[in-house]
Amino acid sequence: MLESLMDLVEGLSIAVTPTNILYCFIGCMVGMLVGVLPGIGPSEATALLIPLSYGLDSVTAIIMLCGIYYGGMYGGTITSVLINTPGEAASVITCMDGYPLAKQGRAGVALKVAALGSFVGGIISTLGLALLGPTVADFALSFGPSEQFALLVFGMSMVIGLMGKSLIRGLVAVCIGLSLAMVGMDPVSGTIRYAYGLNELVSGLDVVTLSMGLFGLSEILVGMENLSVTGKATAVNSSKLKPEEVRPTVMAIIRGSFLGFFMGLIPGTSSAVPALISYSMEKNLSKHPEKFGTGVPEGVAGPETANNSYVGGAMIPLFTLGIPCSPTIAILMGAFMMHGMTPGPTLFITNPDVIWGTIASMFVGNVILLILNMPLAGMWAKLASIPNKLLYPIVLIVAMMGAYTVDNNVFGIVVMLVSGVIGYVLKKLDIPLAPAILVFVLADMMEQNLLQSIRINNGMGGLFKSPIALGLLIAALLVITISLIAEFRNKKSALLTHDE
Amino acid sequence: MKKVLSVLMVLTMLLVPFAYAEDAAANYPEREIHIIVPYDAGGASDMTSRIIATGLEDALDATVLVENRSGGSGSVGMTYARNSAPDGYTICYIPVEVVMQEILGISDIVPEDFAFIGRMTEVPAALTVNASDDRFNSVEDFINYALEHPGEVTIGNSGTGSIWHIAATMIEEATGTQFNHIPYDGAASAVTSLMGGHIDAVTVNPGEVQAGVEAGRLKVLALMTEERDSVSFADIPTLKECGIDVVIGGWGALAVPADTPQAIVDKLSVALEEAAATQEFQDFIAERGMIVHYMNAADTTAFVQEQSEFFNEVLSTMTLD
Amino acid sequence: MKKSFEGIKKWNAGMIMGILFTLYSVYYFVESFKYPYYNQFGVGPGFFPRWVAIIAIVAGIAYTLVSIFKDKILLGEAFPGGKELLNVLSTVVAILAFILIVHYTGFCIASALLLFILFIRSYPWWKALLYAVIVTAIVFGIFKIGFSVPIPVNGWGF
Repeated sequence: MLESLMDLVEGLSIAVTPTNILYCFIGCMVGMLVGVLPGIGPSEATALLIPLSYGLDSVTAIIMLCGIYYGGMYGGTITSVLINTPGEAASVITCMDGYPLAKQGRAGVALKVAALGSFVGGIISTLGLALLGPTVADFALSFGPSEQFALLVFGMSMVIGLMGKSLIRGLVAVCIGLSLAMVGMDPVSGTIRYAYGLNELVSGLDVVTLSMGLFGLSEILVGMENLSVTGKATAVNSSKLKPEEVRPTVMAIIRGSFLGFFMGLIPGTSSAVPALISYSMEKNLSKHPEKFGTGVPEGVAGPETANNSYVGGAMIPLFTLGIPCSPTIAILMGAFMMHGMTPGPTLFITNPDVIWGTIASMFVGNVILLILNMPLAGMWAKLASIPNKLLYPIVLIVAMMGAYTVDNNVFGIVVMLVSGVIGYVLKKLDIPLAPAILVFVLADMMEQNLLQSIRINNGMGGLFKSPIALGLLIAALLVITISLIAEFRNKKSALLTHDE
Repeated sequence: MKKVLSVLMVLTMLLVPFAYAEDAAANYPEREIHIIVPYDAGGASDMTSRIIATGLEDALDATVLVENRSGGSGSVGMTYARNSAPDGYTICYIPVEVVMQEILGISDIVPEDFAFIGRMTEVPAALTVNASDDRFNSVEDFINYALEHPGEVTIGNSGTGSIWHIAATMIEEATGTQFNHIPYDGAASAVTSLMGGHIDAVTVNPGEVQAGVEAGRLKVLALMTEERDSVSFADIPTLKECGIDVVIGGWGALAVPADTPQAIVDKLSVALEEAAATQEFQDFIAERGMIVHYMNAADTTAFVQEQSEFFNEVLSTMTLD
Repeated sequence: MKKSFEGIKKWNAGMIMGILFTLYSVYYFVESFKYPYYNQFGVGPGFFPRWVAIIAIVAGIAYTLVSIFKDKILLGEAFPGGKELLNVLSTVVAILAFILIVHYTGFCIASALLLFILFIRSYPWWKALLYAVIVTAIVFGIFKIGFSVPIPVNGWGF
């Protein structure tokens, strides 16, 4: 460990050279901007900018690309908070409390808390990457198809916490998400399902397009009903936390950091999973769970922290074993190779300057993001006070371009339009939308892992043989039971007090 | 309102100018060229395309952009490319799977949909197992174990109907063994699963397992090439040496839609030859466990025809599961 | 006309949604039989859709029943009528128009048209046109030039 620290200091000396700070800054800025633009997520941005990095020194290039990655993670938050449109799957959860906060004129609070959480999460997970890297890599490998399936079931059980006032409405949302996830080629047998001969549907529906429709476009349609109603808080309130909010927010950030880091280690998860689990965890631990969804800062802090610390965790399998854990990491891996390096354990020996320079630059990058965002949060929040009649059409055209960009096909806009109309109707009927999207993200991976597990073990046995899988499944069962009991009790008390 | 709209619409329709000058080929390329990669960014096909794109940029003096359109075992990207304007501005990376799409019922793509510019690489296959797996220290161990335990050895591939799936199936046919094929979403996740000991072996490109081998986590038992590798895997035998007559591998070519003017195809073909000959490309491909094996347009077309017949025959006697 | 509209307002929106959703689920269930439930190694591509459909049918029926007997949501209460509904519909139609014409006109004309339709509700025509053109130019600049996204253009390159 001491050795790692020495290396880290060495790396820091590489990371703080003016050139590298400059490119780290550029990466963070670009990342943040593309995070704000829907459709272009961090993985697309990284891929797009790889050619730009050819001319650079390899350390500098990797530093810039990493900057795009975590900058993009942060950028996705901004749109979730301001216009209820998640830029990527990881920020779906942020809409739950971020947007209500913005509606109360407290967008600044949401954005600052998210920036702070991202910073702490980023720092803790980078520390974890530097100090624990090789030691925890084995833990990551112990997650095979069975374990991943169990983890996803656990994640799915957390969705119940998001179902809002009525279980049945939540269930309808879940079924919508599940049924949409089946569209396209089945990952295991290659059978094309529910595609109706449309080539565009063969690879399935895109999560970004779908969430832009369900969340963003439906919100715009609601706003279009009457553009002269601002529906906004008259003034931007103070962007400070209330005293009673400080403790839960700080706790949410700390818990989210560790949660995100460990989830990052597990191959095949998406950053939406730690965010989801963090949100449910905070809700269950909270003294006032009923306030979640109405704008509580810890509901933003936890998930935002978790999805940023996920980044550091996800780098470990890449650096130690050469395994890309997420799509963006896969592209980063490609970038390493383009610069003549093969990610993996040998990289620590052949190019220590690159590895430690990169790790150290993640500290620098997080500091840059924090410095950028504390004052910017206020500015972004002011953006929310642009009159709707101007803002909504702009958001609409940007979202449409985003939907187009996903596949470079007008079909994306069609999908967004259809899901936007569906989202509008569901919103009017008070059916929660977040479960639909999250289930959509999980279902694909779940099916694949389950079928793989069944094939490997010639049956369901794999799920019970593995202690990790069994533990997670039991935990999921517990969560569901507890939520159901709580739901039942709430109903009862509500009936008794004639509150409904 | 409605009137305004309809008037505007008619106006805009009228304003659309008619496209394409006749002598497009002579001035080609006038704008940026897109290479469609039918797989995700970061994979072997993607990297090959990106590195060749830089070479093509120099050779053609034009911007060459790489665009990933993954999904459907490559059918999404290839379909997109097939339906693009045949003007040479949309090039497609074509993997070996192009000859199998129709046979396997994945899509209606056939090689005749494309005019081939040339072949760039050969992508060999390797049989790889977990380094700590004492059961398998040689191909012989592996085959004998599989013969004694039919249906028990799990082999990961990069998707049902992928070339690596077919590679494993060919070993089955040649040796009379029976494996349990586990499809993954791409080779990387199959390799991860192998490292974690969740499956017994993978039959993917050696470049995909290189990091794991260097980490001491994986060991390559055999390559499925005609001859031994000369760079990273020189001490690894071929299956042929071990008495198993299986030679299989993928390849990567570039193509444009079938109706592209011959003059443009020729231009691209010359540029590709130049790009594939650069030291940068040669080194990069060799380090990734692939082989640079350039073929010109005519040879590639003939080669693809051969491959088509070969896999037609292989797949007609083979039951993929 | 007015009277029948009032009648529609009293319809139970929850029930309609529930019935539609149940029908969708049943259709989904029927479709799922196209895909084999078992293959030789266990479950096949039909497995997941089948169970999803069954859960969805149960959820749909439950939702319908709850809407009929407990949480009645009237169409008139849940959805806006008159001008507001027209505003929403015209937005949808404008997007549709964009989708239909963008391949012929290129992005810039289609986008400016779409934005003009949306802006003209709240601004005088010259302001609406100005805003539409400016926003289009910026979006085009960012996506086409900044990120080299191949957005559809007409013969003049926009």
